[in-house]
Amino acid sequence: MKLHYKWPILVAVLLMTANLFAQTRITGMVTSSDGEALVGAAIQEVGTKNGTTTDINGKYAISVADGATLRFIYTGYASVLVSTAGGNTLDAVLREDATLDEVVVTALGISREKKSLTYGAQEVTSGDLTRVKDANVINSLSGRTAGLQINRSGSGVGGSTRVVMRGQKSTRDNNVLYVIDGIPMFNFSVGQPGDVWGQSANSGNVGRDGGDAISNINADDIESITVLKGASAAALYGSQAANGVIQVTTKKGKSGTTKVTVSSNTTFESPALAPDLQFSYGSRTNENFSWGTKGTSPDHVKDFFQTGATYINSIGLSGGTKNAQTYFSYANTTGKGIVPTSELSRHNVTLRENMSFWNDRITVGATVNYINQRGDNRSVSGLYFNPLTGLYLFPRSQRFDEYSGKFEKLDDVRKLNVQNWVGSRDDWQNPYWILNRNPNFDKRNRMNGVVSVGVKLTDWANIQFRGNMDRTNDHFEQHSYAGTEPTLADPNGRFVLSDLNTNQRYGDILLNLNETFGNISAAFTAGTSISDTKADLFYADSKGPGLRYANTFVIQNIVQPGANITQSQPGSQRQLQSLFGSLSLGFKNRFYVDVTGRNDWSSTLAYTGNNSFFYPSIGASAILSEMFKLPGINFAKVRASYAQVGNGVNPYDTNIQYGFPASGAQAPNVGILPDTKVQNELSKSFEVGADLRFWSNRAGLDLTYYKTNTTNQRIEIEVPQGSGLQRAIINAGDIQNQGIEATLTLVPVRNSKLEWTSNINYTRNTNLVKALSPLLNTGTYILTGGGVNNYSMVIREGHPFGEIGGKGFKYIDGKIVVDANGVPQAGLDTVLGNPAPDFTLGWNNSLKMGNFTIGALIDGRFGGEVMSITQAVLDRFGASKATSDARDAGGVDVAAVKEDGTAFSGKLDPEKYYVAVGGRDGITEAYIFDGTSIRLRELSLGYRFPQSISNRICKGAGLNVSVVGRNLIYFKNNAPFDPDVSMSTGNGLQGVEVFSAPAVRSYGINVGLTF
Amino acid sequence: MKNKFILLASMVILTAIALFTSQSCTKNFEEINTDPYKPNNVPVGEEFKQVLQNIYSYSPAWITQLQQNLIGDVYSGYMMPPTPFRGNSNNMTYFLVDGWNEWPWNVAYSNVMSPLKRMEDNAGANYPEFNAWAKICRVAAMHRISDIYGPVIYSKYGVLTTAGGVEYDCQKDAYDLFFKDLDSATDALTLLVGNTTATANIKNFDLVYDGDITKWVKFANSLRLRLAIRISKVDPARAKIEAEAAINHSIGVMQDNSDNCLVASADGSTHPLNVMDNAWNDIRMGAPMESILGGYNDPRLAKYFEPSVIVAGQYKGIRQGIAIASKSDYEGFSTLVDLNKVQLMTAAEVYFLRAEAALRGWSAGGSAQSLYDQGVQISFDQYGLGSAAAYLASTSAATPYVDPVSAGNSTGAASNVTVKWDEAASMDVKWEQIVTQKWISMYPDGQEAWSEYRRTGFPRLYPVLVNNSSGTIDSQKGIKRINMPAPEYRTNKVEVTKAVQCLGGADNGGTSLWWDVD
Repeated sequence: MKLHYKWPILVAVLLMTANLFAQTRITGMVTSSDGEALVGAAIQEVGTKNGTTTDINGKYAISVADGATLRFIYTGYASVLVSTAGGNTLDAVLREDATLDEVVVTALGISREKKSLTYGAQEVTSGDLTRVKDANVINSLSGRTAGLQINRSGSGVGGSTRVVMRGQKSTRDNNVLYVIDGIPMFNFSVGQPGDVWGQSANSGNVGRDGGDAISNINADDIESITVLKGASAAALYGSQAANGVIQVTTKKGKSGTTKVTVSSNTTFESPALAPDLQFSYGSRTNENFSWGTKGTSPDHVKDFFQTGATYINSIGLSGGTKNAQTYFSYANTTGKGIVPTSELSRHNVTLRENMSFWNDRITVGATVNYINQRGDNRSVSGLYFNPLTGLYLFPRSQRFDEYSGKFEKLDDVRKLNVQNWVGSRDDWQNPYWILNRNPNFDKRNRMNGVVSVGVKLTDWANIQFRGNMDRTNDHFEQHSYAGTEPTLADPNGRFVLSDLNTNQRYGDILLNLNETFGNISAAFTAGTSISDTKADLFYADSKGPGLRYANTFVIQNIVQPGANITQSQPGSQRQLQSLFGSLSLGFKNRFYVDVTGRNDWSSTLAYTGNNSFFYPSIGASAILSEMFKLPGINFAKVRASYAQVGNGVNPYDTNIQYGFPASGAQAPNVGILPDTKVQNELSKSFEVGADLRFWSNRAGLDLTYYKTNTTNQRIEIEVPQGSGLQRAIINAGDIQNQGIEATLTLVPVRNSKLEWTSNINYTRNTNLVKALSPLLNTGTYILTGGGVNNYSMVIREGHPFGEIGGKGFKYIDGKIVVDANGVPQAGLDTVLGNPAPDFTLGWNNSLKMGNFTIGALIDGRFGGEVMSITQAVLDRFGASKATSDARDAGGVDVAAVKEDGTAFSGKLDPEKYYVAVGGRDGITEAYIFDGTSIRLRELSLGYRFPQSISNRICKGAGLNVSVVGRNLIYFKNNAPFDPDVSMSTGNGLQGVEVFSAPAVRSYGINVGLTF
Repeated sequence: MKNKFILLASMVILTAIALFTSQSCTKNFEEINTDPYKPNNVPVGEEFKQVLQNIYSYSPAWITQLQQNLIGDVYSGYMMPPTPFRGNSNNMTYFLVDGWNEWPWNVAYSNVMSPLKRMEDNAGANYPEFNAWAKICRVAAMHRISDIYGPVIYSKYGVLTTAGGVEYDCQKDAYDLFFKDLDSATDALTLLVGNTTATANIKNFDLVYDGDITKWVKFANSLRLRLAIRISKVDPARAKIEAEAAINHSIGVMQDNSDNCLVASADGSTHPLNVMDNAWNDIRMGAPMESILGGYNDPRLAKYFEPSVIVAGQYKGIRQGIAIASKSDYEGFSTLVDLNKVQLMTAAEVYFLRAEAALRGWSAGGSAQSLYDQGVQISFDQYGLGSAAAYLASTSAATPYVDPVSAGNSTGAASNVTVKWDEAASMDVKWEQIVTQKWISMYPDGQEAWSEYRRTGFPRLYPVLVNNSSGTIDSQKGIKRINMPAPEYRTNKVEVTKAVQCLGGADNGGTSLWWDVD
């Protein structure tokens, strides 16, 4: 199918035999609107068979009849007609044309003509991904595609990203499946925070984000990203497809002379949305709170943050002969966070070889990727080990400089330095102590190799064999010195070590047949695949038994290893074997029908008696514009499809073994009741869509309506203890997502001086939990437990998935109830909001004027509710500006009534009010904010140096410089934090912010050089 | 034609390969889907360690605190927390906290019933010693649960009804099953005494008697005697049969302190009371201990408690069910002497049980007085206190209680019985003497002491002054039981509702258990 790319060119070239009547020699260069030289573009003298193609530098020369008109043709670009009357030099600029004969990469890496697709798919090309670079390339999809909700983790540069496509469906995992060059990637992410403290769920272990697997990819290696939306597009991935697929196609070497691409990107970051604090009211003697008398305190917070910086430098080499091509790249990413000592360093090396033998009968490709990454003191969210709690909450009128400059002091008895801090609380420490004496680092070494062999059987049949091995080692340590807050460490300190090895092996065989029978084109693919993923974790934590000697962080120094030490080696393995096939039929290029089927055999379903599941899909599309004369419309297509896909169960769920018998609290007896058969989650999905182009293809509208019902959720229910279990796994539920996606592509202005292209993406998803299990006796399924904190995340029948729970006010007739002293009274534990936005809108613009290009991406999420625990805690401590404003105003002005329903006269005492309402365990209803956020997400101004200047570097070189910015302006942001930033990329802890590092505004410069 | 052939051939090959790989490899799926980091092929019987550590939970201490300390340890008069948990509205003031009181149930089912069932499922009939041992452990754990709540899930454990519930046994039926299980267990183990294989098998996992089967039989018989005495008021005929069967068994009941059922820690955990006492300052001596042991000049007082800080050099206990404004008010009362092994039963208790049996005219192998005296001496021996002769001659009685923090809590002595046995005294006085001495000797097992207090009313304890039970618990009669665990109402509503009917009263703390009759 790769041939599709080359067909038009080959045809064009074949059509043009040398013309013997040439009279004028025309030379010139063909470039894309980005200024890239187009290699192999066809130039045809109109009305003749005369033609040529451009060379590796985009140069051409052709002899034509006087006054002839030339047609410039390049796949994926709109062809252009230019008269040669103007002179002997004729440069042509071709615009990418997304409307005609566009080829997209679909499931399993199969290229298809976009117009034949029966489902939604949206492509983002490398230019969009690298214009304003992010250390995690997936963040660059924000606002550029419809149907995705993207939340970055709060851990700063290079952190994980949560990407949810067409709404949340699963009680376990809603992240999309990433597929790199046709091979599904095991996108593990390590130990996300699981509670408000910032610990990993229910473990007391350090919750941290070391970056997921997709975040490691070098953006410059990516050719394009295709978002396969919905179930039908992804149906060939069967039991892995329920959450949708993001397909990444990487660059290959190209034949011709060697091409070198150098890219250097420097951006600086500064806090964009920091909490509003007060520095006027001081603290009372011996109090950690700032509820004292008015005065002035210096702003100790502003000097804490530093200007962050991210440097991404890469070099790519591409070249080769007709039979062997090489692509090599190296990228170096260095990041310095806005919180001091927070750093990231990454090296990516890629080598890709493609060879063909025996007239392309056999093609062999091999890719090797090596990634080395180290993160130091990545930003954390939550109350523990977080420098920002102590920083923001520091009691005003005390002297911060006494602690900032001197975070440790000598303990005369112990003869070692211990923490110097203003007071002991589990949720705060000296910020500089945390940074310097609770340091942590993570190291990742990842090696990924792919080998593929293609065998061309005939012109219309080929077989492809692929194999992949992706191994990663993640090593993490945290060294907490003696003197660390006792809740977090023992007297001699605390040592945490985590070493995770993940290994994915994948292999597949694909048979592709393509043939045309008269009016009918047929494409058939059949294949089989096997994938085996394994993760092994070694985890040791000295908390509890403690360390023998203070401040020595090695395993041997842990007291009583093997007794009380939290030392575990959880591992997991899953194997998936599949048979699949797809048949696409086209009739007269007007009607297309797709049928796919995949059968999966999954090891995670062992012991259930049925480890085999079949996932079908069917789709059809009709090109109306080929059938009817539609005035004013260049292209019109309607499509409809239906698919069933799954989401595999967790390893060992069907075979639950008991933990080690010993004293103490056992892990709860989770198991399976005798009459339960554990199954994969099943999504049944239907979508219809239309694709319209009009105004000479300058406007396009892509519309999709979808509806997905997902059943067989994994739900743990509480069962009678007399059954032998405490909790049982069942499959139940029906979660429905329906929505509309619309993408409008527009070229409002197009002339020789200016071209403005604009792209608007609209997404609206409505989620409804139609059913949970009747066995779930509380009617609520908990994703994040509240525990002692008044934030939780729950699923309730008849409501949207994943609502925020907390503590409400007590009301009488809509007014809050206070006691005689004006202290607000807490009401019930209740559901306070749904963090999912009502809809999202992205507006991406590109303006090209000569050598200048301006890019601007504005996007917004509208509606939804989010909670700020930061604000709650700041208010409780009297550290927020809200509290000083209230004190200045003589009280909190809210309409309140007393218990007997009579009005409370006057304003409420600020301290009484905020002490009752604020805090992680206060009346958190007061800390629900509208989640609307509209921002200028990306802005870039690029300049392509004229060839005359870039030629001085090297003949034929291209030089681009651009100034870029991200998150420059928040047009509207109602919450005191950026709702784009998520505390966890897992299922829980959404829509809440707990002392995350402030969202950053970044600005910088890109330099790109090609020669 | 050639192309068609290639197509056909390749499809056949491909399908063959695919089917081959798919079908032949799925047989590894069970192995792949087995967690390599969970115990696999664990020796049968390993579960006993977990069981023995959880009849009275060893760790973490917060579980023990909820399993027993804030229930039986307080209601027995042994101990009292200085801490006004939940604004002083808690078990101590008869506001029964559901979130706490489900824990005896949770521990029993997760850590005793569940592993024992697993062990039985694994071993089958191959190991008669394990099956017999399991029955003993199960009764040792579950009678405590029944004595807290009343109805228990015992015979139907692991059997789901069609509606997904699990049926209960009323306490009367549960006790019948306890006796039967102890009877068959002692029969089976008696046959295995001297059997080296059985001894070795038990020894592997025995945290109490190091594989001594004879001692396990003695423990089982003693347990049977304890349960027989427990039902002596409600079903005297059955009680006599069971008590005599235990006492007159060929191996018999516990004789001396080497027979005591003391559980060692499997992993070096300290006794959880030490944590509650020292690390958390959440438990102190109870007022009745001060009044009774102080009044008797009992040398065991210094073995159990430390002199207080609040009245230097004196032993001070906290009265249960009083108004406590601040933990610091009562933190300075007497702390506990550090404990070592967990004590589930002692020979001293058995002598007192036999004394009561003798008092009732049953065949107990001695007179009530001689057994009473031996009980006291054995208890003295347990603490290395030498001869109890002088103590046994003492005619001193309990002293009035003085609360140095809040005088309103002070009160006179609750009883005037003495240590010295007077054969001429009334049956009730002798009975009170026996039970009072048993109460002293059984410390710190508050669960068993609270059960005997409810059965006998001895030793006489002080009524609560703050009663937050909303009228469900009579302050004078005291708390009779704990309401059924809240999770049962969420998960097993039909059956727990049925079970409550056999209580003969509402499911609250004021309804007496089956054996608790006047």
